[in-house]
Amino acid sequence: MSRHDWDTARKLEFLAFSTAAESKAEGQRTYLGLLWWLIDPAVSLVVYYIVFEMVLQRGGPNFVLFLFVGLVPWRWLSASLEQSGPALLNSRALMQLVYVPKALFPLRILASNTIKFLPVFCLVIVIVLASGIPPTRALLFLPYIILVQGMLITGCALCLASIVPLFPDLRLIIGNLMRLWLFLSGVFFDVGILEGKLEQTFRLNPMTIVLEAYRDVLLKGQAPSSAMLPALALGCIFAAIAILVMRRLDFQYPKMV
Amino acid sequence: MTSATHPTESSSSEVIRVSNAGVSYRRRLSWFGNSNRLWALSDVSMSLHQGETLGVIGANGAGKSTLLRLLAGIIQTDRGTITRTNITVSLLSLQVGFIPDLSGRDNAILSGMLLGLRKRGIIARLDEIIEFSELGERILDPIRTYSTGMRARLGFAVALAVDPDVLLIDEVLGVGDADFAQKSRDAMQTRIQSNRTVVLVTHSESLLRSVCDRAILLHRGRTIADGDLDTVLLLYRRSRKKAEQENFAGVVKPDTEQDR
Repeated sequence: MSRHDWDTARKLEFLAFSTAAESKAEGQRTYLGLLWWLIDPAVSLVVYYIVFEMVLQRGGPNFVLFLFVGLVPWRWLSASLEQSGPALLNSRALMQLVYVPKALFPLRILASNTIKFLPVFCLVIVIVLASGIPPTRALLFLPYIILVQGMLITGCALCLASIVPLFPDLRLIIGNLMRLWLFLSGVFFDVGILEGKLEQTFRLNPMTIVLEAYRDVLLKGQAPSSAMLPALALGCIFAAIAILVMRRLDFQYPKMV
Repeated sequence: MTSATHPTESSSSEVIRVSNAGVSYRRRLSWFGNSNRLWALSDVSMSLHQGETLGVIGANGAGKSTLLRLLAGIIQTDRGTITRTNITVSLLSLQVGFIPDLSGRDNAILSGMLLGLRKRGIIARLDEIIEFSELGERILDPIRTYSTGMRARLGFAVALAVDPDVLLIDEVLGVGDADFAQKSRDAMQTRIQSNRTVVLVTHSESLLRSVCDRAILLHRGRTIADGDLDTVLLLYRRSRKKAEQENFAGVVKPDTEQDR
C-alpha cells in the first residue's frame, strides 16, 4: 500500500468506517457515552452561571440560554482541536508499519466529533424553542453557520496536526491556547457591549463572529449581523495550507521520533 | 559488491529496483543545514524479481528495517532512486490500528483497510479470518476482553488475508502459543513458497535456507553483497567473525554509527 493506492474512494470508505467504529467505541468506553456531550456543557453552564450571574452579576435576560448556545458550538471546536492536534504524533507507531495519507488521522477525529456535535446541537435548538423564543425564518441560516464553523475547525485542526510533530511541545500548550481563545470569543458575554476599538479587535476573531451568528439566529430571530464569508475563507485557506504541508512531509512524519 | 551469481535477467520480471539509495533521519530538528543527519541507509542497490524470495541479512543497526520501510513506500529516499512497477507492496504487520473497545470483527475490517484491502474485500474474507484465528463467536466481543494469544491470532489472520503482490517480512513468522505458532509459521511458509514475491529479514539461517533463493548483505547502510544465499551467508559469517575478533582485541570502539 503506497501513496498511489489511496484513491479518494478508499479514503472516504476508511473515514466512514473508522468514524462509525470510533463512535461505537466511545459509546462503550464510558457508561454515559454520548450523554457526556450534554453533561459537560451543562456542568460548565452551572459554573459560569454562578460566576457571572450570581457573583459578578453581569448576566442579563436569558443569560443561561445565551451561555448554552455559545458553549455547545465552542465545545465542538475545542474538543476537535485538542484531540486532533496530537493525532499525527499519536499515530507514529502505525505510520511506521503502513503508508496512510496523514490527513486521515485528524480527519477521522473531526468526523467523529461532528457526529457527536450535531444531535446535541439539535437538542439546543429544542431547548431554545421550548423556552418560549418563537421560531423564525432566520433558523434557515443554521446549516450555513454550522458549515462555516465546520470549515474553520477543519482548517485549524489540520494546521495544528501538521505542525505538532515538528514541535511536539506544542501539544502541551494546546489546552492553554484553547482557554485563551475561549475568553477571547465572547462565549460569556455579548461582544456588542464592548466599545469602539476593543469591539472591532474582538470581531477579528472568527469564532466571535460564528458564536454571535448562532445567537442572532437562535435567540434574536435575525440574520447573522456580521458577514461569515471571511471566517469560511479563513478555514479553507488554513485547510489548504495544512494539506500542502502534509503532502510535503508525507514521508518525513514516519521518521520523526 | 560480490559476484552477482543471479544476474539481472529479463528486466520484465523486475518489480522493484533500488539504486544507490540513501535514507537519513534527523537527530533533532534544526533550522540550519543538514549536519544533523544520520544515514540509516547510505548506499543500497538491489532489485527484486517477480516470484522470488529475497533474504536480507545484516547485523543489528545495518539498516534492514529501514530498507523494508523504503520498499513498502512508507518513507522515501533522500538520495538515489527506487522504482517499482504497478504492484502492491506491504509490510507484514500484526494488529495494525486495533482499537480495544471494538469487536474483533470491526477491528479486522479496520485493520484490513489500513493494510490495503477494500471493505468488501475483507468482508468477503471474514469467514476465513474467523476460521484461521479460531475465534468463533468471540469475534463479536470487544478485543479488550481477548487474551494476548487471541489478539495475536486475529492479527495474524488479518495479515494473512491481505495478500499483497510483494510481501515484506521482518522477523515475525509465528505468533501466539505453541500450537498456533506452528500453524502460523506453516501458513507463512506455504505463502512464501507458493509463487510469491517476498523480502524476508531474519537472523534464522535455517529459515533462510528453507525459503530463500537469493540474499543481500547489509553493512552499516550499504549493500556489500548480493548473490546466492550460500555465498552471502559465508561472507556474513566471515564479517561477523572478524568483528568479534576485533571486539575481543578492543579495537572496535562501541558502535558510534558515524555519519557518512
